[in-house]
Amino acid sequence: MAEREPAISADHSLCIGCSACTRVCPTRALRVRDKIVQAKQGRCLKCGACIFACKHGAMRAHTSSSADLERFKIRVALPSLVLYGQFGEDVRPGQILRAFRSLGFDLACDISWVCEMVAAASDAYLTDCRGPWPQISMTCPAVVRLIQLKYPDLIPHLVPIDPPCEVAPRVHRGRLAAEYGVKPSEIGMFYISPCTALVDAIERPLGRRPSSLDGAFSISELYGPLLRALRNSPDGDSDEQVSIRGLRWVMASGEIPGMRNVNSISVKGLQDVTYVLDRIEAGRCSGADFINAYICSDGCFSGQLTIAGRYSAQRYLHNIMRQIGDSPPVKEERIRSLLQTHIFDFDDAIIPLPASPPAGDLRQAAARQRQKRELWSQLPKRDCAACGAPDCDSLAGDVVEGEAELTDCPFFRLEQLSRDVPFSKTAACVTRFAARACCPHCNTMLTQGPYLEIAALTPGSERPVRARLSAVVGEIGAKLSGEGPEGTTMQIGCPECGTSLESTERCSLCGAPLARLNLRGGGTYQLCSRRGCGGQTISGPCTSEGLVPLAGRTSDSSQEGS
Amino acid sequence: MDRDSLYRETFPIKGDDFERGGEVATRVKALLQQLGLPRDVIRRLSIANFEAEMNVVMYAREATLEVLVFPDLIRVQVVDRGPGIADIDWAMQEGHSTATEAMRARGFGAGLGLPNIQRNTDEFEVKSDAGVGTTLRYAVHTTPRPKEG
Repeated sequence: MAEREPAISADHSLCIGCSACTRVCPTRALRVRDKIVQAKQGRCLKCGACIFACKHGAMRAHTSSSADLERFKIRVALPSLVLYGQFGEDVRPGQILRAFRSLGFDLACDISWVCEMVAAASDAYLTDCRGPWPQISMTCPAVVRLIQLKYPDLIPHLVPIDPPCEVAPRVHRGRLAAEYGVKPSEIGMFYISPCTALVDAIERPLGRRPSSLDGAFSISELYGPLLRALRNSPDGDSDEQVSIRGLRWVMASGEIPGMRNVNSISVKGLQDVTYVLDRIEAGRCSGADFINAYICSDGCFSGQLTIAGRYSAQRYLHNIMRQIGDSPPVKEERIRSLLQTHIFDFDDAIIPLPASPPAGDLRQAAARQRQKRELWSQLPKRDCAACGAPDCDSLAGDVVEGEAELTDCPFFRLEQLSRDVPFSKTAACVTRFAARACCPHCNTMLTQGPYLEIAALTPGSERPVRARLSAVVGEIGAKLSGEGPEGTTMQIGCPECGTSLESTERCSLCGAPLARLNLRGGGTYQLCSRRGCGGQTISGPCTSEGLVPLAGRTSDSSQEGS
Repeated sequence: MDRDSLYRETFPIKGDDFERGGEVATRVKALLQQLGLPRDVIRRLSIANFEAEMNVVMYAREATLEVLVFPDLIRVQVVDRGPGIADIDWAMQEGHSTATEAMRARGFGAGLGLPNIQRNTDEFEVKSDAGVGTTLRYAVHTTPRPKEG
C-alpha cells in the first residue's frame, strides 16, 4: 500500500504553540517546543482528543485521497453505522448508501449485518472462553493501543475478534469480485470512519496482518457531498434492509443488546475506560464477563470525524430504527459456518508497547526517579502547561531525559530572576520588574513609581538637571530627559546627596560607564549612562523587595514610593 | 528497613474517601512502571496495594502507604490509624469480612483483602493494636527466587 501520512498530524503553519492539546492527550505524548507541537514517538493512541482541543485547526486527520480511489476498478464504501444518524430521522440508510454513487463510488455496502454477526461471534467466543475475566472487546483500536501501552497485563483479556469494519471486506470482497467479474484485489474497500483511531488502524494494523480495508474517508469530509447528493435525489425506491441488532450494537449504552451474554458493560470515555482498566488490573472487576470499551465519551457517535451532535445523531438513529421495526436475526447456521472460516478472527498476537524507554538498571531508574521528584518539588505544581509539557510532572521527567530545562517553566524563571542572577536584557524582557533602587551613599530611595529620579549632567552644561529613567528592568531606550542628543554620555549623580554614581564597570552594550545603585534588600542595579542605550545589569542576591514584578503596564507601579 | 533503599515515596490515604479510593494504587503502579520493573511484579503489587488502600478507605481514619525500592525487592508499608483488627487469624481466613451491607453493595468487602495481599506477595506481615491501628508490611521480590505457594 502507498505510504500515507499518519492519521493525525500537526500543521505547523497553524499551530501557535498554545499547549491546549498537550493537556488533553491521554498518554501525555505531546510537547510544545519552540512554539510548535511535537509528538513523542510511539505514544500516540490516535484517539483524536487533540483534534477536539485545538482551536486553531492545526491538528489534522489524514484520510485517503481521490487518487487512492482511482487505483481500483470497483470502489466500495463501507460506512460506519454512525453515518446513518447524521442526516436526520427522515433520511433512511438505503438513501444514504445510494448517495455514495454520486461521490465516485460504485456502491456502498451496509455493515449492520456484519455488526450483528460480530456480536454473535463474540458471544460464541465468550461461551467457550475460559477467562481471564472480564474479556474486553477489540472494537475500539484506541482502547487496544491504550492496553498495549499502559495495561500490557490485560492483553489476554482482549477478545480476538476483529471490529466490523475489518470483517466487512472479508465478507463482501469475494462476492463482489464474482458479481463484477474482477479480481478481488481490483476492488477497493474504503471505510467511512467516525474517528481517527479506526483510520489509523488501517495503516498501522494492531497485529502484523495487513488491514482488510484499502483506505478510509471521514464522515466529516463526505458529509457535504452526501448531503448535496441526498438533496438531488430525495426519494429512494426500495429501502436497504438493515440489521436492527447491528444498529443496537452501535447504540449500546450499559448492556450490549446484540449479545445473549447479559453480564456485560459498555464503558465510554477515556476517564471511565481508565477507571475500569485500573480495576480490572487490580482484580476488582471479576463480576462482569465482557467489557465493550470506547475511548470516546459517547462511543463512536462522539468520534472527532462526525458532524451531527452525538445526542441528536443517536436520537435520529433511534427513530430510524423505530420506523424500520424489526429485522430477522441472522440465522445461527450462517454464523456457525462463518465461524468455521475464521472470518471474524483477529488472527495475530497483540504485543505490549513500551510506555517509556527501557529503564535499564533498577539503580539507575531509581536515581532518575529521585531526580525527577526533586525537580518536581521545585516546580509550582500548577500544571499550567505554559512550559510546553502537559504538567509539572511531565516537565520534570523531560528534564531528567535531557529534553527540557526547568527554566522552561515561566514561574520557575520568575522566581529565579527575582532571587539572584545577573541577566541579560533579553531575559529581563520576559517578565516586567520595577527596580527599587537607592543611592549607595545616602541610601535615598530613587525609584518613584515606574521611574528612577536621578541627577544628570550633560557634558558642556553647568548644572545637573533632574532626569528620569525608566525603572522597569529590561525596558530598552530608557527615557533620559534633559538636554543633549541621543547617544550623549551623561554623568549621573544622586539628586539628594549629589555624589556621583558612576561605576567602575562599563556597559556591555555600548561601553559607556554604568551608574551603580543599590537594590532594596540586597543586590546592585547598574544602568548605562548613555542616552538611549538602556543597557543594564543586575547582580548580587536580589530579593523581591528590590525587584518588584509588574502585573500590567508600567503605570501600575505608580503607587510605589520611597 | 535496615538497608538503604534506592527510592522511597510516601502516599497519604484518607479513610472513607471512596471517591478517590484506588488512586494511590494507580499512582504507585505508574511509579513502578517508570522504574521499569517486571510486569508480574507490578501486577502483584497493584493487586496488593489496591486491597490495602481499600482496607484503609473502608475501615481506618487515615494511613500512609510507603513504597521502598530495594535492589532485589519492593517493600510496601501501610500504617493506619483506625480501629485495628481484633482477631487477625479470623481476618486472614478467606471470606471473612466485617464490611457493612452498604459497602458490599458497592462491590467492597468480599472478605478477601488480607489473604489476597498475602497470596500476591512474597513477604507479608500484619500487626494490629485494637483501637490504635494496623500496620501491614509486604514485599514482592524483583529478582527470581524460589517462591512458596
